[in-house]
Amino acid sequence: MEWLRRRYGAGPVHLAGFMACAAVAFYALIKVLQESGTKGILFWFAVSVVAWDFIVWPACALVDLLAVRAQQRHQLSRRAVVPWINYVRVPAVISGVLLALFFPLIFRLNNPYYEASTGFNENIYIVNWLVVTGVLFAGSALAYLVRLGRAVRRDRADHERTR
Amino acid sequence: MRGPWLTSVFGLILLIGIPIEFVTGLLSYAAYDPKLAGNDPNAAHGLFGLYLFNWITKPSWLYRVTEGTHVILGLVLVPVVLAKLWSVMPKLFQWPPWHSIAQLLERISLALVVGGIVFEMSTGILDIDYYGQINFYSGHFYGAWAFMAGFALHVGVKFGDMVRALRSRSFRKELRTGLADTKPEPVESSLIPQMPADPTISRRGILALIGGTSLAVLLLTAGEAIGGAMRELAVFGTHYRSPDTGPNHFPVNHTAASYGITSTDVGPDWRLSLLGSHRLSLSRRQLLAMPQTTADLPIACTEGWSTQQRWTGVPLADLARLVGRDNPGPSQLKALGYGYVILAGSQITAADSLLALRVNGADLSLDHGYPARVIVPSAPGTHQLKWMTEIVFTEEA
Repeated sequence: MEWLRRRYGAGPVHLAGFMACAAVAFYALIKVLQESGTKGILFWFAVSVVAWDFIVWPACALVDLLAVRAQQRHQLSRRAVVPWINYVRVPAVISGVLLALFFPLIFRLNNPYYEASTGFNENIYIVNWLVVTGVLFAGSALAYLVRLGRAVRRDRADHERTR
Repeated sequence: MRGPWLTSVFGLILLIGIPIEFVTGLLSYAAYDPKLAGNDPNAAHGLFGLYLFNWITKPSWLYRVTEGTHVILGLVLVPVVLAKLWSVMPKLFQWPPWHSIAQLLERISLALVVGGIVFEMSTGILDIDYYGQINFYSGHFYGAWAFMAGFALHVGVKFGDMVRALRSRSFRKELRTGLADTKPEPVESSLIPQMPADPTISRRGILALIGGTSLAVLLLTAGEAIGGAMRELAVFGTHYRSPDTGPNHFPVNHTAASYGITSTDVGPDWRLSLLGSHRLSLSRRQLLAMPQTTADLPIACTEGWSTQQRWTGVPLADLARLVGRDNPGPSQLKALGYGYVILAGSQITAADSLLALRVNGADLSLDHGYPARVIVPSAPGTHQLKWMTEIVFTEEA
């Protein structure tokens, strides 16, 4: 046991757990290749890891970083009393997730099949997405203005008092 | 604000949500009754089919609820998954990547967890968006098993850490902590960035952002499965609109036109063939002259949307009896356009299993399967064939 712990880095249960996990995953791999007969699924799996870890996530992080920097510059120049960053983040994240979930409908990627199935076409989805996005940003802007108004009034009141 | 507490909150939600997804997914496969030859979308299932059982017909809303839950909950969990992956990002850049063989193997299994969840989400989402790129049934089913293997190991290794982290801070107190008082968690953890920038959002802000996104997804999709006035709000669902007005005003899956079915195919010459101990051919008028049964039953699609309507028609068991099958076994349904499916004997004899001729008091519309469609309690929509032409009844062995 001590030997295992020293050489392996964890107890026997950990090793057994990993072996079981690997066995199930490997069995699933054999089965999926047997059934679909295509390596496209493997490719998709690999793309899932790489696309998330090295493309989607860094891209989103970069955009957010740029927005935070812009917000900090505004704050330094005292053009914004209330930080606006989260009033942009909230509608942007919701709208972005909706886009990620429904982009095939929004960009009409398989309209003939959709039409054959439902009897309607996909034209409406981009409108739906734009309307939802517009409502989210408008709502957020309104909330920001309310907070800004309150902050400005408080600021002015403080100013009056100190004078 | 990244840290073990926040990661654990998302982890706990997924620890509850993902098993629900797995179980409802397995149930959906069982609902196809894959043991009946010809029904199986995953013919190579092997040991993964050990749990299969004969699908049940009671309660009639069972498949509607399990599959609606599977799809809608799956969508609602997407923001949580993204947040969880975001929260553990510092780990990806941990150096050196491993300290022991155990840790190396663990990181390999993590690739299975991360790749698996993104794979399961993307295949599921593309399928309901009608943009499937690979064999959905194979990928989503075997992918789920591979993912769950990694998930189980991950939970086994991290469960203690999660409980410890959740206990380290008070959830209520966190909800009262604004941005000004948000500090990094005072613990040693590779989840905390080494040089965190000043926070621009509080922990409660992150929770509200993720919760709000999930809520938005829920509001804009759930109506597809709930129906009623909520359906109009499901503006990102494929079936939130319905053609026609009046009794046939409910969503269509596969129009008659898409199968090239015209009114001449289902005109006065249309007959339903029944095959049992002998063959019988019935016109729609003859079917309407038989004793009719009315039942409120849902159509529930594998893609998650569903709709309950009031159907009137001839019980399938009565049709079986007409051709000498008093105790029907697995029976084959054939229809224009579709090909065929097999229903179990228990589905033929279930009280409300109908060959529906009318819906909500009116004749079926062509798109809803005129002259006759099958409707079986709790069966997936894909087994409720429209434009029926033939039923081959066997006798239960």
